[in-house]
Amino acid sequence: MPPIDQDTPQPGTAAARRTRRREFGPLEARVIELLWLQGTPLTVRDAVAVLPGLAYTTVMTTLERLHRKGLLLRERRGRAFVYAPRWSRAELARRDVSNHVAGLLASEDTTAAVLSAFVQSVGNHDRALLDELEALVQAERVRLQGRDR
Amino acid sequence: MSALGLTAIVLLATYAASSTLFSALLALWLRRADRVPATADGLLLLRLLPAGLSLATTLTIALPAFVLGEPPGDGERAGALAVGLALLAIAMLAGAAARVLRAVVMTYRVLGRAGPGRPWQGTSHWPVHIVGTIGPGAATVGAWRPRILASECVVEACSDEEFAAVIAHETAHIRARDNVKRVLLLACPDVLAWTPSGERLVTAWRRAAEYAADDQAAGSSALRRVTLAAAIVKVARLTGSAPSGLPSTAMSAARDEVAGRVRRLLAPPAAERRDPAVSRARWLTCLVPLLAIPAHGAVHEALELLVAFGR
Repeated sequence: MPPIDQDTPQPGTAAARRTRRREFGPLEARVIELLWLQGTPLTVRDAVAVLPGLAYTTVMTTLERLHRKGLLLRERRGRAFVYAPRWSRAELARRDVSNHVAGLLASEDTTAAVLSAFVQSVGNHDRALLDELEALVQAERVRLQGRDR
Repeated sequence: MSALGLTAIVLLATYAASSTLFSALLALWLRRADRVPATADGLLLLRLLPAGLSLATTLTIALPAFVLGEPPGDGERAGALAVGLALLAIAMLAGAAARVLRAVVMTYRVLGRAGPGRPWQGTSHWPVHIVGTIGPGAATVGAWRPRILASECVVEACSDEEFAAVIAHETAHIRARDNVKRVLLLACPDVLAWTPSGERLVTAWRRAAEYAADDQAAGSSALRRVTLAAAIVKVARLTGSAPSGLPSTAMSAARDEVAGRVRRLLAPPAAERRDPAVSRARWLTCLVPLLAIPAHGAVHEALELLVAFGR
């Protein structure tokens, strides 16, 4: 789908600031999960059909909100808009999104919440450390495979 | 001032004074000690020691000494020192309550943002929810009804065995009641909670708890240990790509923790050793009231001086 408004947020721009303020409410999470699962762009009517219990206006408002937050692409087809995720789930997790949501399980909140995180965030600049550790892991795996033969 | 009011001020003042003293002694000992407890239980007890000893001192020494030795209906007024110390005790209690309340609010925030997710189809004694709304990571959330949350990208990034290792690690935290212990650490009403020594102890406990959970999850099997190490590196890469809002000191500690866990898992497992600090701390707390029984008279005199000072 050729997106009409695919302006990738540049650092320091209003769009980038909007991206950083992004937060997922439970309803927004449901809707974007649906779009990921469907894998094709959906109109509001298509989305309502697979989201039982939600009113048309509710779904429409939620899609609009996600689009304003920069998470969805929108294109007009005839009289209706179709919506599609800007990024896949994995891409979204890796992008520089709002401090408030991304990395929530490895963020400052873990020091205050009743929560044991599997791994605390080590920061992007520690790639060299992670490469070194991965090399150690691979070496040990090779050693064990050699031992088992 | 009523007798009840005066007793309350004396008890609060005693708590504040003894807590400050025990916290200072512990901080001093930590600076000079060659070896501190290495196990999570030892570190937990060490952190709880000032508050525990202060409570024991207040309830088993000060309370009976003051109440039994105080003439009825005295109408005595407390001096500035006693009132000041009582206010310090109230500040400590309020600080502890605020920390616990903040933890509850933050926990509900995490659970609210996570949403219901989808249940994991693997084998686990506790509910595991795969969610797509919380950024990369996995965690055990909640103390009384813990649940394991893992983000979709962790499931995608890890192999089946690696993800099972993640879940085993989180399950170990639940079995050890680490989140309940986390609440206890937050709820510690003492001055140590406001000092770098207290923070360092909590950080050390957190690291020891992660090591213990790694050992429980992987055991002595070299294959399980390397699988868990691989999962740690993969999840660390995912979390590193999303800004966390952590200060640089915390990120530095997190970096050391990740490196320490991976290297430890790849090394041959060390033999488990019992930490003598645990039993020593228990004996100390039980001995305090017994040792002071003969000194109740002197304790009462000291409390009278405390009450009168600054009047």
